[in-house]
Amino acid sequence: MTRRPSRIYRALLRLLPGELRASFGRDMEQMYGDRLRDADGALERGIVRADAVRDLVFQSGAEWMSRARDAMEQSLKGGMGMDGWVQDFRYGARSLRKRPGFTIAAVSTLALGIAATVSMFGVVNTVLLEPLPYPDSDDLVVLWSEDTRTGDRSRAVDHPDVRAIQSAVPGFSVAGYAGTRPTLTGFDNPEVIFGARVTDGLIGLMGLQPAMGRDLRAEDAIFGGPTVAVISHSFWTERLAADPEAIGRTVVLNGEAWEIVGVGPPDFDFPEGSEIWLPRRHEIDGCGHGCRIMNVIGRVDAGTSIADVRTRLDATAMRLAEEYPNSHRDGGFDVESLLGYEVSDVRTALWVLLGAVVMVLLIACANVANLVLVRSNARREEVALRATLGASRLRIIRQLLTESVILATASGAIGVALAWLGTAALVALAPDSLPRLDTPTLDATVLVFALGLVFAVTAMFGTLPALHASDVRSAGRAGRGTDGRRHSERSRSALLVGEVALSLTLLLGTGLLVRTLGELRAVKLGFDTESIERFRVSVPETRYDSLEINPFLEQIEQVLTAIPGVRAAGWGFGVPLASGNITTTVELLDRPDVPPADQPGLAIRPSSIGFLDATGTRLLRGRWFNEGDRYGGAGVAVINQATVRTHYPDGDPIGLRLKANVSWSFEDTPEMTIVGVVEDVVRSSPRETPSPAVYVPNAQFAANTGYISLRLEPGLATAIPQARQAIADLDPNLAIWSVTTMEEVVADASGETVFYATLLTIFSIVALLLAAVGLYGVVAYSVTRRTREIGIRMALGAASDVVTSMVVREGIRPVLTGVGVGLASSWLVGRAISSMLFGVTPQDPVTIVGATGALLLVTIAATVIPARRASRVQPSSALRAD
Amino acid sequence: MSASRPEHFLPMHPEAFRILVELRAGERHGYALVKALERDAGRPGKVLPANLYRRIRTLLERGLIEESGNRPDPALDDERRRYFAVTPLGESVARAEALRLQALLAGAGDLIQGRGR
Repeated sequence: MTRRPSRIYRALLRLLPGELRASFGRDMEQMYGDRLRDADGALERGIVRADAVRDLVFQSGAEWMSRARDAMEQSLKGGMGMDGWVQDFRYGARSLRKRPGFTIAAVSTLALGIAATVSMFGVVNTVLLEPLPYPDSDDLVVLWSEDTRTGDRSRAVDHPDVRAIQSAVPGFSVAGYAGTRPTLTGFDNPEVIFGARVTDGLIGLMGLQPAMGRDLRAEDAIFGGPTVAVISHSFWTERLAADPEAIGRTVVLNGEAWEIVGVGPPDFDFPEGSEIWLPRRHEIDGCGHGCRIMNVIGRVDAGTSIADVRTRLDATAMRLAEEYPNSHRDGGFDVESLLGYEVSDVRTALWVLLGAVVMVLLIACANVANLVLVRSNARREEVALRATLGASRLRIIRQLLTESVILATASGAIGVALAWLGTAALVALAPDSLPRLDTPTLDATVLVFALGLVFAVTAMFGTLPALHASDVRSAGRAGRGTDGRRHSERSRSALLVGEVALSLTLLLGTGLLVRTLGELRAVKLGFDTESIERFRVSVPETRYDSLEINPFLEQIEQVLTAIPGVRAAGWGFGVPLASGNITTTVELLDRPDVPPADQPGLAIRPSSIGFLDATGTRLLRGRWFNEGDRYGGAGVAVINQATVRTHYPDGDPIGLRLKANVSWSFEDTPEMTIVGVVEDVVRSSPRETPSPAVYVPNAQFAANTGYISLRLEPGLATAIPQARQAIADLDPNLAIWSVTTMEEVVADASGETVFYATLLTIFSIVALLLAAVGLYGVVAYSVTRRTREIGIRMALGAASDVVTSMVVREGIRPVLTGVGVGLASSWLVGRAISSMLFGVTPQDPVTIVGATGALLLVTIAATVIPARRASRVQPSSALRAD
Repeated sequence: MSASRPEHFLPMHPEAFRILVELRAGERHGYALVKALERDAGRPGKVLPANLYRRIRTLLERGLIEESGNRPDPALDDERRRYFAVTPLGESVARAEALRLQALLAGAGDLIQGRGR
């Protein structure tokens, strides 16, 4: 009776080692068939099948373990013990010493690759992976305020929101904070310091304790209560000489005395740069619902989940929307981890950079693998002899890998040493906006990474050549056949394909970022940058009442305009590429189609009469503010193009009315008539589309903090010293800060993109050079090996240009394959860096053509040089060569 | 494999010993061997193919058994099956193992009887 072959049983037989399967596989299959035939019924046949699976799985495991045990025993007998390791190490070191050129080339290539990778990882570790310096920092979150209809998000909430969340969300502790820049006097010179107005318990929320005294409490925030402050540790050590009696001393801020009740813990300066924390109470009046100027940080208590917090926040948002529809309609809240928030802007870019530098390392490893492959070809007879004398393949592989371990270890040690410098260079190059990069260290995590890198590098460049060189069967035919050489050439071609593909990938990424930079620089800013300086000033409300603020600012503008070389001076709040922004709902009084519930949120920008002249923002229609726009007079406003596009798309907005739901120093903001339209101005980043904004005359708004812009005569370097003096003459207790030029401001805005593009450019150039050097080496070696063949061709009449083109064609083949692989991966590149791009698509044809062209140019050049050498081969000497 | 003293192969795995004993009764192919082993009341459980042929391989390598031809078993079907037979060395080793076991059991007769002293 003929049995049906069992495909499943045959498939399972493959679990057994080949030798056992070849000897007895048919017999086992026969027996399995016999059992099945003799089984009585479906149940018994099922048992036979189950037994067969159990048998093969168990016996294959036992067989493999038995072989491994035998191999270990044999190896220990054959010199695989400790003596063998020492012997291999000595032999490998001696072998490398005899070839200093190869050793230096390999070690330097790998060391540079390892140094770059470890340096970049050091930065990634510091910025993205290290936990924040607070206890249980994973529980710290930031609060986002959302417009659920449009999806817009903002960190800014109003103070009543903070109180509502504090009371309505159990298991979630919050603290609100808003930056403040008071002028500190009583020391050498008046100085503006960074601080924050906070609700109670900020230090405790962060999991810390004051170094002295206490934290701010809820009762400190009562309007009209004592003026108390907590100073930072650095303030205490640098300005108060670490006075142990600091508690109870006073500091004068904006002419007002504040009693010190606490000193913050060392290195604590949240929000970043804060030297002093004041209770938030003065701003309660006039900035209530809808006046969003506070940020919120929270801690999810133990036993509470983020999901619970979100559910409670949703309920709170719905309640606020019902109670305050004008300011909270469609409002929502969300939370995000504090670390995630701090690094969200840079996370993608840093991982992309780390990936890029790993690509450079891979190319370096491929180059060294090629070098080692060439060297191993020359040792094939030695390997064959060792095999003949009894060395197992495992033993030979181990000896070859030991050399790779020595190379990789030396490279790793030098690489880590260089990484100290590399990390310092990265920190020096990095823009200030890169967070958490104050003190990157090569700590234990980075050193463990470096160690793992050394292992990986050894495996990457050492394994293939060791396996190839230890192939005793082809080594035994060395000198008689070409099988081994062909295998080596195929391996080296494959490595080249990989190098070219990686180089093209890097070039594509670099090209896209460089194009992005170009697009960013082409963005219409809406203001001038040449010969314009800017600084910030705050008029203290404690010394100037609401009717005095704007006249004082106008007086400042007059004395500044009088400085020789200053063509114009202007004051503004909400200026381009600067901190400080107020967004509030605005009633469009002449748009009856927009119900009160749909009042748009617009940015409010109090500005002086001289603002346009000083900044260069263009007036497109109507007029700017003038002397007639005074407090008590008819309210006026100037809107930007974005407001026209969004809210007045049809017809002329000049003459239409609107009213803002916010005031500053006066009790109310008047109804305003639109008198002009100005061009859009880049506000927070050239990448963002300008949002709708309303400019109001500061004479009718009396904002007390903002930026003064000075337009200088061309050729004048600076007028800041004179400006400081002029302002000090008006008020010796008034200081200025954030002094800069508009050129610096714009450069800083694209500083991160410049940093990323610079690094990627360096990586791409290094990668391209390494690939070119690798290609040159492969082609040159091939020419050397084929000298006799080339000599024969030329003796038979082949012209030198024919020989040149033959060598170039063969050398370019792996390059073209690599280009194909690289282009196929370009969509991956685009996806990885799409969030970093601006004004250019990930599949930008200009970039693809440019990058591919550059790569081909360099690689063809690397091929032509040895090809031309081949064309100069003398047939007679080539034929004599053996 | 070069000739060796039977004692060098002791102690034997019980499974290998049973195979030698069965093959002493006459050459067998794999399935017949399995049937014979499973009939043995003193040996519980089944003899599964991979397990059996690993033992056979070891016995072949040591020269204790040998292949004795490929032919069908008329009792089963017309497929050619590989037959194995014990070698003279294998006979000697089996005898030596039996004597070793006998000596081992010499002092445990009462256990076999089922009652202790």
